[in-house]
Amino acid sequence: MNKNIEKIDRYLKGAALPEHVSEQHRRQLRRQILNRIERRQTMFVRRIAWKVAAVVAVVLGLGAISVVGVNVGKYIYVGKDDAGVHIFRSEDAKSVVTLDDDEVTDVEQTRKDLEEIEFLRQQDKRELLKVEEMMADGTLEMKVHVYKYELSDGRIIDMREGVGGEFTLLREGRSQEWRQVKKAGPGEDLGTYEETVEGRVFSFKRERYFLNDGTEVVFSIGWPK
Amino acid sequence: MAEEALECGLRCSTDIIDEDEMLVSAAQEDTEAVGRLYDKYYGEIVRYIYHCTFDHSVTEDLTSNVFLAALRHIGRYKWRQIPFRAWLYRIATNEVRMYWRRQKRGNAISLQTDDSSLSEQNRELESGNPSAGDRIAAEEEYRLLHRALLELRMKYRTVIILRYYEGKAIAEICEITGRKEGTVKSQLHRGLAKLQDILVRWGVLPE
Repeated sequence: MNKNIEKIDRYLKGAALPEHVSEQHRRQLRRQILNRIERRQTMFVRRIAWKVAAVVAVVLGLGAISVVGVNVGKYIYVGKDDAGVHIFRSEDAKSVVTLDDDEVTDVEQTRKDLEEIEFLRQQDKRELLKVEEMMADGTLEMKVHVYKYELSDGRIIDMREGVGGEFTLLREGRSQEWRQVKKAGPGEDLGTYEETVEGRVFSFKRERYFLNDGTEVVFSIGWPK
Repeated sequence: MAEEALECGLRCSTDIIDEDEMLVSAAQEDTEAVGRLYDKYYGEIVRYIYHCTFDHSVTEDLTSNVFLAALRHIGRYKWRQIPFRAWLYRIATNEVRMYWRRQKRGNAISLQTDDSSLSEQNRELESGNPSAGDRIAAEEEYRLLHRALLELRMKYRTVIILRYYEGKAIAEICEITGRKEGTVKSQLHRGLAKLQDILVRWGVLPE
């Protein structure tokens, strides 16, 4: 039956195929897509909760943040920094949470939410969604766990929690540069590996980037299998 | 040889499917995962659409539509019983189908090289890039083939492009088109026979 299509089969197999290459389009569309999903996530969180999803727990001159195992019950509102960022810290000053200005409409409510999250954390009533690890020139720059918390009124909050690292780039004010490098596109693929984190197996993808001064950044991101 | 084209078999490895499942599930809450899926599939989809339309600017528009639509509906993806890659190809195939339908309705199918392509070709030739000549020669050769493909009905064209240009196995084409194996094989066979007739008629292939 196929005798009569042999000629065309051979012809098609030997055909040289043209390619469409547009690095500009690839980058533009990537940016557009990521911007859209960021906006969508923000709206989603706003509908059901205030935007703690965007919280980045950072260290403000206190050394590496260590949320795990810290027996904090109360949060204190510190105030705003020069950039208008709201700062909350645990009573024992071992945990600091920062929130952009537009993420806080009611300081007292936010403070209470953080205390409830802390309560849930101490009882381990949370779900680990993602793990990020960043090495800068061979040193652990930061390790972040992203947890999902469900508050008593049903709101879902995602919290990025720093669990280790030197935070050197952050302290040197180079986090913006790193974000730009990362946003520009994927780094060199260094393969995948598996690791058990908090009793669950996570699949990690590892990529290598270079900052302007040649600093090598190896960034791994893991999701549960 | 021709039998190979009609053989059935899955090319996707379990590893790839597993990785996609993980990324898709994470993508519903995580921009990082969306970025990774995009980086992984952009090249494949843009190439497929270009082979279908052979027009640079249309390719970019349709590729944007595919990824934006996939992003909009990614929450519903888990209920679909096909791998993510096949799902993306299915969206792309629909985009291409709609494009040709619009073109047909507007009676505006152009077989001429689009202006952007021409000026790009000129720029490349002037630059003296040694591979530019090969690329342009490939485009010229493909132009005739593409014209012949446009003579076919969409369903034949799609399976031929997926099988020969994108190197898809029959099983994967079934997932992309939502057709049964027998139907895909039959469409491929008929499409090839028709394409051969056209090319013989045009003197491209010997009788």
